Amino acid sequence: MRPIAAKYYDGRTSARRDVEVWIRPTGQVFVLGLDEPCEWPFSRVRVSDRIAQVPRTIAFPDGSLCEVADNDAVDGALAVLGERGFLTRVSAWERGWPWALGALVAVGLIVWGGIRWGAPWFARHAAETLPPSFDRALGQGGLEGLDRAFFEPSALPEPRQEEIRAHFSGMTAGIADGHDYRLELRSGGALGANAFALPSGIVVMTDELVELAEEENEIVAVLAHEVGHVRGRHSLRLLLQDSVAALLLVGILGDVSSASLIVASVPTLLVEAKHSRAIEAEADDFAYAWLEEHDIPTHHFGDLLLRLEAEHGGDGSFSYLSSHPPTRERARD
Amino acid sequence: MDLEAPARIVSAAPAAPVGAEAKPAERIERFEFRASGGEYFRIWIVNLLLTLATFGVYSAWAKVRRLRYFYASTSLAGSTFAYHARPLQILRGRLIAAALFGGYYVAGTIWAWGQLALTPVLLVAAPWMIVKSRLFQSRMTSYRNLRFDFREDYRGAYRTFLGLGLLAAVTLGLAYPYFTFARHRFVIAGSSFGQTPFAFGGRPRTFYRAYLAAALFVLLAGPATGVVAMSLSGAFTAAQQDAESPVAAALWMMGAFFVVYLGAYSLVQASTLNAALGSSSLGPHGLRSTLRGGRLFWIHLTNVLAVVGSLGLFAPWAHVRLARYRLASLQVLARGSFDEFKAGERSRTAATGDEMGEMFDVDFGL
Repeated sequence: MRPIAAKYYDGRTSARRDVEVWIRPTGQVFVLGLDEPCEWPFSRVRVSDRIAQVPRTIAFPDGSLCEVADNDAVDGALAVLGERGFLTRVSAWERGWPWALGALVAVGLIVWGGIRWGAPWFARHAAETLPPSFDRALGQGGLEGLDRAFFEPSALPEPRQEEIRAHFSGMTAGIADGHDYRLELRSGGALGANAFALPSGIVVMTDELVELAEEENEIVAVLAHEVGHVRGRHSLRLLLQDSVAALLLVGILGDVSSASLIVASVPTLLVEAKHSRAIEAEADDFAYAWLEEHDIPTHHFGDLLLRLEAEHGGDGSFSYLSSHPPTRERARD
Repeated sequence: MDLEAPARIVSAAPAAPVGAEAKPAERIERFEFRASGGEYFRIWIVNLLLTLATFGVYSAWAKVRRLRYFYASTSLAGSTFAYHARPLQILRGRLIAAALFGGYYVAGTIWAWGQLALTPVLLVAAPWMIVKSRLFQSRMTSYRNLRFDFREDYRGAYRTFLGLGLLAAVTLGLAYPYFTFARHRFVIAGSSFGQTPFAFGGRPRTFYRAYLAAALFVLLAGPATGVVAMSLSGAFTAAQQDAESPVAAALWMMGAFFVVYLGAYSLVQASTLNAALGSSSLGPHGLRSTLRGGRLFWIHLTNVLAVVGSLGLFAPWAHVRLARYRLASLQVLARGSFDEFKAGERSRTAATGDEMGEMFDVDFGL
């Protein structure tokens, strides 16, 4: 057992004294080098945890304190006294590169797994516990907003509208999941040929999409895809998923500088796009299943998708920012 | 450095103290920062793993370890700083804060007006939270076993943060430099080391000059960066035939805005901190701050790019880098010994209710 060099501060003034600290195996702590030597029982002394190589403190009951640079000596003395806590092990992990690299791999797996599976899993189960009124609240005002910005009333002749509405009611008559299923037809304006679903159960389809279809069953297929979105409560799940993923990312990256929010937004965009693609694929699955169940050839869905994409000027190429899977993949089913 | 005898060091010394017009016993004490990115990375990654594994509970311990590492790596005149908050205090504060924040968020999603209604409440509570937060941070920090302290001046806080903040908003930003000046003054003049209060000697006009320079920078650099971004974006979309080009173009523009914003922010931060700290003193000792906006901008920019490019792994190095530069730009103009400070009347072991302030610990850019 050797003396430990320390700097002593009495806590009443900022004066500094150089002293020696002895931590005896019998449990006494001596401080030598002051005007009068000090002695304390170890049980009343507080030694701070070790963190890397920074100096640690030994605090005495009278409010005075020693600053010690020789961490190894303190560790040795503590070991002899049998002091070993969880944080001792933590600081051992922090000092070894193998541990750190292992931790790095573990963190990578947790984060990747969390975003890929954890967030969607959580979102699905959380959505199940939330009542349909949540969906209604989410979609509130959506249609009104779109009507104000883009849409005109549908220009299709009334009997044609009735036909399409009949397809939709036939599809949704048997569904009793709390959603208020309703089909709205609009003239798409700047949005062109399009169809989407609001969380409350309102499905909107534009005249342009109706006119793009060459077969009645193509329209039916698209309606099935949109109903799939509502059935799956996709808006709610996307919201939950993206929030969890965003929280995770901000939590990790958030510490850097005041620009942390911007730093976190780039990966968040990528994550959101990926979640969106997964959910579109789910709606596709629902549509295909429905078509098969009703003995409708499934190629109708793919036909319309390809035509739709050509209409919007795409060439089937894929980017990590896409909200939909590549059309060729969707139509192949 | 022998501090027991105030040294009569004159300009011959290699430490280059302030010139002959200062008092003869003045010397420059620099901050030393011994932290390293690699060392901090190991702490950071273990913190992260344990935090994830405990669903965030360990984050309180992680914060204590982080701050203790940074504080104890910082030394002035041979003594290090110390951080005394206990993890359980912090955990309690964080749980309450999480509940409050969760409520705020949920209110926003269910009720369209939810967040709008809650925001005024937050604004009114902000000055109170700022005082509590400063209180906690100060009292948990010590140097040579003497704690720092903060004056619990709530009226002053409301006058400064709410009152002048509103004034800045109402005058469309013309009063904003004055608001910044008042904020710094409130925080610095309200702080003390032991029994000795800090003194603040800054003038509003220095802050106005700082913001004017930044505004000029934005006016000149803004359009130029925007043009560069647009042409880069155009080149990329032409090369890729990307159907998602509107998104890509938006990203490029965002990038340009970010760079310009960062430049202006760095300029302002450097000059306001230099002004605020450089005019402050503690007892007989003065402070000097020599931050440079350009260097700060460069550090921030490369930090952000490296962190994004490394998927976050560079974060610990970024943190250490920034702290090192900021400490290197701060010096104490010491006149006399550092042994003369006395402890305040508050006992060292008190400050339990103050952990309320911990959960409001927000970075006010100081």
